[in-house]
Amino acid sequence: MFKNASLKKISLIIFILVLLIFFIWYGSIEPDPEKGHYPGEEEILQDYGEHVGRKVEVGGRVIEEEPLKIEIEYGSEKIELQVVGEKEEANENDRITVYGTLHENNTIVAENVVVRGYWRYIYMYTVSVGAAVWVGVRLFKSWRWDSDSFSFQKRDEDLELKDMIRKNDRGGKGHG
Amino acid sequence: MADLLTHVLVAYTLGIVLSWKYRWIKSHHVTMMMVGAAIPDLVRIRLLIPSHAIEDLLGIPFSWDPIHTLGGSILIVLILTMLFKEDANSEGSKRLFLVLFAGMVSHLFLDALLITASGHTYAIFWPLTDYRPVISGVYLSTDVLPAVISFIAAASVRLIDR
Repeated sequence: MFKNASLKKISLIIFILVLLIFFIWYGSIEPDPEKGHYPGEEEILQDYGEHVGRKVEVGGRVIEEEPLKIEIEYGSEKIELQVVGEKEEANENDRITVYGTLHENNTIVAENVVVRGYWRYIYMYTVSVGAAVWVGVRLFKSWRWDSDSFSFQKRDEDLELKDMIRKNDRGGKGHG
Repeated sequence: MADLLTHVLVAYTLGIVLSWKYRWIKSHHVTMMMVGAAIPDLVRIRLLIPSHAIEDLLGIPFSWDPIHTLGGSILIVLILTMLFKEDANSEGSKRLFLVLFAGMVSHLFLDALLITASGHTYAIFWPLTDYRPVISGVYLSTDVLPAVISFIAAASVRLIDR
């Protein structure tokens, strides 16, 4: 795809630069309910009054079950919101996302609530770490880092698990 | 986001099934499809470095979210394609691009099926459009069933493949 080394380097730099531009561009996008993008924690914490009476979608940690209260945060800012209206059973420390109308006195009238249990969160992150290790091991078995070409090179022969444990890299120099 | 295990198991299954039709797909291509399926989850870097921390530091708008959209993910697929070298000719790069891309698309598709409070999914096609399509989701990111089903599927195709 990129036979010329210089062209490859230039393309790599361009793609990274475009990605950086994407990060800045996306960061400047304001919520637009017409497009299904509702104000969230950031907007509410920056100017609560501006969003009173409007539809919002916020996620936070349950800090009280009855009445249902959540803590939403953005950066170092935090507020508590009481959730009324549509109810779902939620326990302390569960994560919930609420779609509804923001009212004064730190209240949100919910139209829909999605609850994710605390332990399910622990499960999700645990298996995700396991999956990352699995992919990492498979990568290391087939590829090795070659600093001369500044790229991962396919090993001539996949490493066996015992070789990986012994760090007896028969595929060549470096670590992939 | 569904859990990463579900995503890589689906990519593993997809890779093996596709290898039955496309004989050039080898084990390391299946691995790269799994890598592709993990790309949108790189957005979790925000757990370590929150977007607002960078905004505060640089004084400019910033969000990691493009990583979990079509545009941002394609860029990362292209970057990885250039960082991996299978052989001296360009055919290897094309194949790596294809498997990374397929894995990445499988991730974005699965995450579009997640249940959300507003009923709108994420800005999947950004930057082509920042519209968030209305999709009635079928599962939560914290559900166990998707991983169980994808594990059974992956184990089944592995047995058949042998």
